[in-house]
Amino acid sequence: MRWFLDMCIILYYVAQDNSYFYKKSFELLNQNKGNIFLVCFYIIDKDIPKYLKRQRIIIDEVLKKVRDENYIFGSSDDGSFLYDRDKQKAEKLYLQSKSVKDKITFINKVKESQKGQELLIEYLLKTKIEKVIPIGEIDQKLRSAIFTYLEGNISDANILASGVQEHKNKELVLLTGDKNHWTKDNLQWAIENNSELDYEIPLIKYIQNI
Amino acid sequence: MKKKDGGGSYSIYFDKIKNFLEEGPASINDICKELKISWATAKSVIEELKEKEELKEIVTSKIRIFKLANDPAFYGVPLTKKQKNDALFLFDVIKKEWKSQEKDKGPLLATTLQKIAVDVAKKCDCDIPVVSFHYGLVVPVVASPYANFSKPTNHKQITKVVIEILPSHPNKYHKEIEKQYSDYRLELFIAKQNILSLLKQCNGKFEKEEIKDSFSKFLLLCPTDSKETRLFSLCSDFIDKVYGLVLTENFQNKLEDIKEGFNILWDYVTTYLFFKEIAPYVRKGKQEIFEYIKSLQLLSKKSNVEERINYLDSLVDLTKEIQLPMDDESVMIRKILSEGAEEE
Repeated sequence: MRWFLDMCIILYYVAQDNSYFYKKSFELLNQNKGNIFLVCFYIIDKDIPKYLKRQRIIIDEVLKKVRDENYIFGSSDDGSFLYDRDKQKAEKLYLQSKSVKDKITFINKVKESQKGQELLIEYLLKTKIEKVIPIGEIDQKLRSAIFTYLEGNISDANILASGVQEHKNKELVLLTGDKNHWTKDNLQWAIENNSELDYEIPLIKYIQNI
Repeated sequence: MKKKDGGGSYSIYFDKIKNFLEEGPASINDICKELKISWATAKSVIEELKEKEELKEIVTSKIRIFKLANDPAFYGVPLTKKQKNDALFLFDVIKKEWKSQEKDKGPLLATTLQKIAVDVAKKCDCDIPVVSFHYGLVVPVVASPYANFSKPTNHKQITKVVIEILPSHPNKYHKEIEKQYSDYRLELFIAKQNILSLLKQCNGKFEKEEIKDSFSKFLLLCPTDSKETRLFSLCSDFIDKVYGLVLTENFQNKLEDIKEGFNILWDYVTTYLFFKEIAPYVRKGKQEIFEYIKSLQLLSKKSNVEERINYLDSLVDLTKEIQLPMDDESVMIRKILSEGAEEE
């Protein structure tokens, strides 16, 4: 089977956090039998670098707070790149730092985790995944149509458009953990209401259900 | 306009410009304003002095700045004539007193001279700057034997303190450094020393945990500054790359590269500290020039670090899948880091 992966599948895989999502992703990506895993260039060239940059900033923000408890998350130039949910992660990590026996051990663990995840992503992309649909080849009409139904999420619109296009080249299954945006309804509304778009809708599967 | 002399120069302005530059580097505009001469005249005089190697140009992207070729201030920062004079006097007293009192400890090392100067400058009530530099605190003036100086008003106090302090200095390079780091609690410098000695030691045996601890401690002590935000993030990036090499078991083979890279990072960090700490000593009218010199130096050092970080990244060899630590705290950290993955 050809699996077209949402970015969250990669992030679950590299979490190594014993969660259900991690276990499911790990099992699937290590089942080589007849499986091909695809990721679009939009994820590789745009979303992952942006995500990793934000992760690095989160860690730096936490370290600044560990050094000086009066530091306010997001108050540095870099901190302005963070979303609200990133700042919440920073808060949680800061709280976590208090349960680790000393600051040095906490920095070791947090750095090791962050760098380790970066390396795992790189390894995964290098060894287990095929890249498809260069960004310049994304069908803009398809992307715009999907975008209308995704509450302004341009990233998902590009990724889903890439998946649908690749499905036209050869059958695939879209795989995600996101039940809110990656839905059959959204794709049906976007594609079937637009007579200019000649695409079939691929099957969508959720990692939590396979 | 005065007539040119036989050598084809506006010699009347030579001394005036040199006197003005004794108070620190200046731009052509500053020279014109101070001497009330035209831009063209100032430029001609400056060019002649440059040819005679009496002036040097500090090239920045925005402005041409000139300093005396023999200006003893580090990086040509605009210290006042008095600050430089007092520092040179201090160095001279130390050298003379060392010869008369401490010659048994051998010829005075340049390091010892600087360390004594710092002790004296800190103890005396004087306007001699003391700032961080690559090997600890320094008086940021080159102790040239050919420099001219005069006795400052508090020369007796300076001489008295020098005599008091000399016996406590061992005049051994490593001991002098250790003594200063410990006397002034220079924790960042101690952390740097610790990293370098670990990197030196681990040629035979690789102590993963110790290496990680030493870099983490360094990061904990690294300066942060809202005006120079890249400083902390570059230190953090550099340490990421070291962790990458540790995690992929490439660390042991790349010790020299890490050491070299770390020295380049250290050069940037201490140059930053130098400019931060010397800023309060710079008088008002010279702040703009100071900012130009500072950004010129920091920019080039920052690019050196960025280049090294990229290079270290290229050394990571990802031929096998790495295993991350599975202790509870590490797992919890990764759980938090991975939260909201489906929203990405």
